[in-house]
Amino acid sequence: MIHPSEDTLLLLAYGELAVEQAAELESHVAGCETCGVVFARLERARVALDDVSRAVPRRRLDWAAVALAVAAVLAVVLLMGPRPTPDRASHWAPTTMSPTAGYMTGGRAMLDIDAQLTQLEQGWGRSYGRP
Amino acid sequence: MSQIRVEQLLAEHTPALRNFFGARCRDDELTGELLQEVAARLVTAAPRLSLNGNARGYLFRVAANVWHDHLRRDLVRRRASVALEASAATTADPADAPLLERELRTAIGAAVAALPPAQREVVELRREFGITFQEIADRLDRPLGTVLTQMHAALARISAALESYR
Repeated sequence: MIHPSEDTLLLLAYGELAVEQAAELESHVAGCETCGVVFARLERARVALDDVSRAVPRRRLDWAAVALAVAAVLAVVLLMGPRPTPDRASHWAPTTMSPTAGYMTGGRAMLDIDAQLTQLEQGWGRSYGRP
Repeated sequence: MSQIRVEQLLAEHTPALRNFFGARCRDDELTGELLQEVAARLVTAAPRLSLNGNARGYLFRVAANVWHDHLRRDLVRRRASVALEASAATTADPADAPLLERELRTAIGAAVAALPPAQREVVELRREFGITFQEIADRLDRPLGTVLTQMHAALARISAALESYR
């Protein structure tokens, strides 16, 4: 048999020959040192190239996963992140009682309470002072 | 698919499969091992197989996968033996295999990136879309012979990269 061309061996390596032609060529290559060497080199390069191609989608997937993770972190930061500083005067809630603490930290709320207490005391004073 | 049918299928196509592997590895002993691997995969897959008249196609696809896996392992093994000779280590570490595979992919990726644009175009179309060389020729408006020559030249460069990788 005449040696097949390199193009034909390439088509054989990529499975693009008719079944009968492929079988005939394989029989030849199995017993031909010259064609066997060429074909083996082609096959090694083809498989190595296919292997790189198979790895590509996985790399893309990894990047997609990283992008998703970053987006999730950003969303959490935006939702849970810094809020407007509360107005101490309107949101003050005492946890310990002290005669002066209200004036020091309570602001307007504490002053209102103090004014109401003063009015009550004055009222009590008038009733208790009556004979 | 029954056990009997699997045996029939293998018996019917063993000569062609032997030819398939023989042309690729040119080693009778290895051909026998690869045939056994095909048989093992077929038996494993048999219970969930339903081959509607395309048994031969399926069998050769299994054979192509077995060959692909063997060649890929062989590439990594060769690299491992070279690395072993280069270092003072006395035993090969199986944990190195993924690293060696990555090295191989990097070397091939670099070889592809360095291809002339016309060759790279053919390689990329084949890789990305898995279309035939005739379809690539049609798409690029080049004669089939030109596309095959370009692919051949690209594979020769990749083969050279593999040699230096080893």
